[in-house]
Amino acid sequence: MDDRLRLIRYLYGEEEDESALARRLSDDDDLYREYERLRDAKRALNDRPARRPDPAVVDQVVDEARTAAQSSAPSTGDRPARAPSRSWTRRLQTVGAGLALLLLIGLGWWQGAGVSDEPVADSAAPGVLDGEAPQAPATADTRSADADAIPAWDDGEELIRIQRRIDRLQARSAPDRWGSLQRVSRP
Amino acid sequence: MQPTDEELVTAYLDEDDEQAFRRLVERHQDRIFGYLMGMVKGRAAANDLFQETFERVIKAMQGQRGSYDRQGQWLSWVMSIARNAAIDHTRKQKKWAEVPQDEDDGRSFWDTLEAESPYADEQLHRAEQREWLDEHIEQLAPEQKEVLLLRQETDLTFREIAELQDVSINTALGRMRYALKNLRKMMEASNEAALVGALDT
Repeated sequence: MDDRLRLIRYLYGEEEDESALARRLSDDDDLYREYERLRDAKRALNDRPARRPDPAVVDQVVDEARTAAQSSAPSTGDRPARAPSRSWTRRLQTVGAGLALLLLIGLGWWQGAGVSDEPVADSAAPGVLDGEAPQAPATADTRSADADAIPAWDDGEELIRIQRRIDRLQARSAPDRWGSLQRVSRP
Repeated sequence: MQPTDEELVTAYLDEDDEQAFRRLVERHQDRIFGYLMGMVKGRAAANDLFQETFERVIKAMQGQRGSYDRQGQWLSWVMSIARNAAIDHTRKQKKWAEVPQDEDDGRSFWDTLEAESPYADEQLHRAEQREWLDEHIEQLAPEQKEVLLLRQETDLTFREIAELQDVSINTALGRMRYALKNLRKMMEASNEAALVGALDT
């Protein structure tokens, strides 16, 4: 690099090899004269007092920064939601769907057991013979209650799958099939 | 220990810490404002541009317009925005060049009275010197003036200035060399003229 350009770097503390430049300055009078002239101009610039904006302007800027931060908070949806909260939502949805599925499967089995008693309620049912309380009325109530318990607002794929599963379970637990099985198994 | 610019940026963006943002602004206000004052005429215009610069900065930091990629060079990034704002302003001014501009410096009459200060004479002298130098800087070629303001006021390195202006580092250094040399010449001429004027009276 040209020594005259290195002088500029030296004046502003950016020259990497200052000792080499100092040797050049001591050997070259023209270069030294140029250094003096540049240094004087820089000194005059350094002596200028700093200027700053009006305090009210800084306050306005900080106000704008606060407003922008508030308006772009995740709850408003302007700024993209942060990754952890997204993943937690997804996890909660998955767990919720899983629990709902398990609940419905359980209900399906329970319903199936309750329905199996219906055809034989008039004749001596095995459960009644064993001293158990008849379950048919209770099952009917529970079924309507369960229907109400299904969230009407949820029309996602998960619910459609669950609904199909319920249909399959209900088809399997049709009264005629259970009745014929019980008739066959009756001694 | 002072937090770095990046730590303050993170505190503002991730924790909505407005005080962190205030510290950033106050830390660099002299640099940014000094540059803007040199680029535009008048304190009121520089105040407007300072605010406009930070409006753009805030929008970009919040991802609303543009972006900030947190590469550890917050000030040079802000300076690029300030530079664009100053260029836009200068273009608009040129459009209205034929309309006479009578811009005040944004200070009231009472603000100009500083005689109560014990350092009033010194302050007045420095203010006059500053004004005198500003007039000389104004006469430099635009590219020389800008490098001088960027290096002297904002403390960006010559490498950062070269990146900002999209020129080689040697070009940036060369412009600075001519700026200082020309400034020195003007100062000498001005001093000689003042000396001649004093001798004439």
